[in-house]
Amino acid sequence: MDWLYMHMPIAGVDIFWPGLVLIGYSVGVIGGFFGMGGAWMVTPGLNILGFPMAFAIGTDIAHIAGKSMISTMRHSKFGNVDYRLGFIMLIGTMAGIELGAQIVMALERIGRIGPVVRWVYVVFLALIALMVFYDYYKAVKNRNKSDDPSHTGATGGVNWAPALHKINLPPMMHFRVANIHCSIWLPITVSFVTGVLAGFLGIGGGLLRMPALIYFIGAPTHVAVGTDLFEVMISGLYGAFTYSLKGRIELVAVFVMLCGAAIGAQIGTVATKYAQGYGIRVVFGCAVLACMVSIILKQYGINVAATVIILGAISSICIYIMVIMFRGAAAELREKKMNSAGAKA
Amino acid sequence: MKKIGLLGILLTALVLNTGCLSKDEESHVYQGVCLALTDGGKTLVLANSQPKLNPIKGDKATFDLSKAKVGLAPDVGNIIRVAYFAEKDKNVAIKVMNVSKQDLRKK
Amino acid sequence: MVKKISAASLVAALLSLLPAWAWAAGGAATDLVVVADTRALHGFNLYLAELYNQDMWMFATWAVVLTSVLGVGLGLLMDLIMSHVGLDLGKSAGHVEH
Repeated sequence: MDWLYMHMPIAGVDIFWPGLVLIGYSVGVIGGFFGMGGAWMVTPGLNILGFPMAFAIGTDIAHIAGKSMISTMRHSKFGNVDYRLGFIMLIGTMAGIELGAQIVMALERIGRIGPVVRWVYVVFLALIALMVFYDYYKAVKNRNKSDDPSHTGATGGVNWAPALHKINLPPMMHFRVANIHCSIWLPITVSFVTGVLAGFLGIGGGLLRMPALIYFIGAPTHVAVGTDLFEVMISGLYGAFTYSLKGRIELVAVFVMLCGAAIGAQIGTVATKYAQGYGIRVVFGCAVLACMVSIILKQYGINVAATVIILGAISSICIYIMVIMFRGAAAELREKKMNSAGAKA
Repeated sequence: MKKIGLLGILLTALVLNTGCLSKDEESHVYQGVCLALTDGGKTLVLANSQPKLNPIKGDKATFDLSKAKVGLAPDVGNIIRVAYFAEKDKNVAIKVMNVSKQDLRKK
Repeated sequence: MVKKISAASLVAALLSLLPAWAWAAGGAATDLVVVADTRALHGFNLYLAELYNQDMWMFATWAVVLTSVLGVGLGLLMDLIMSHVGLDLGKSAGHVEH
């Protein structure tokens, strides 16, 4: 069974390469389908497959950088970037990523990196699952109430931006595209904080930066999307650079995963055309929970079960999305064929 | 497309740059059991525990650590891996890894 | 409510980082140095591992450039394949992907 294992030249470990391809592919499918996220499964997945934790984080962040290049180009959302805000935020993002990476290296030096990162991931994934399930619950509740004309579907909550804009710490700056006027320290602080998490967890950070841009900085959603995409790409590249410089990246694994992700992203993106209903959110939430359970199992040394659970969970969600895609695509192609046959007749 | 062109140029420049590394500067790797660390930690002597893989033949090899980046300190009996440049009269170490103390797989 | 959860998740994730921070600051520090074992490697793996051992700056630059080129190249290739298959991605790409 040696052929199922690939030697990683730098970390010096032999890795089950189908698992590597599957992780890359799944990140592509899930990222393409949900429009965000996916990186959360890479660091734990790589660690469970046998990568040392620091290598798992560095490899994850580099892989996200490669993947974000094409998504940024494809979606061409740069029209909605507030470049002034983007560049100001880069200061915070890059400093944050560097600090996150320094914490990782410091934890590695004292030999505690594995357990600490794993437990932080458990908390992080629990929160993602909570958000997903709450979203599902709300969607179902709204659907049930849709007959009620008084129900607007609006969500209550605290928008912290107006309060934060009152902080009068110079220099103050006006961001034209986002149409906000605030202290320069607000976007720097927000991007720094999200950058630290991105650098520490090896993720793009969009999952955290997007809501932060909307609720803390007060950017309109479309500007937040564009500006965040710009941040993810630049911060991913900086993350890849700094982790490479620290020697904690396995390029061969990055390439293998990118190949999987390129195919997966197409399938995920096409599947969004045909997706209906809320069931997929439950599947996504369950995959997050399964990933969380597998991290806990890895922490207690139950490696085989951890591997089976994480690979099983991401395979299930991929198969679910692929079924949506193939059914929809087949129906569309059939329809096209019938239309052209009808036109000829 | 401009971005792709720019990346292409950068890539070509890098290939040309790395192509400039002459054969004399090719590094090697040696792994063996630490026999001694002398000269205030600047000279490392390793026993040839993997004669089939190691590029230096003979029972032991000596490395100059004065310019090297050393990780966890080598103790006698530890398995040590060294990346080095082979110069005329000495082996100049670049990096020294303590394999015994630093099992990354457990992280 | 979603806003609250978003804000809470950011704060909680940060709070969960704090012990990590304290730990990292407090422990005894020794740099871990990794030497890639090039003795049994060939081809591209050998090249990468030698570069890793010799020149980290060059290795890091290569890592960023190769990752970007591969990311863009594979993405464009897949776009081309998908358009040949007859599935127009442009119509479905109404969302952002990270």
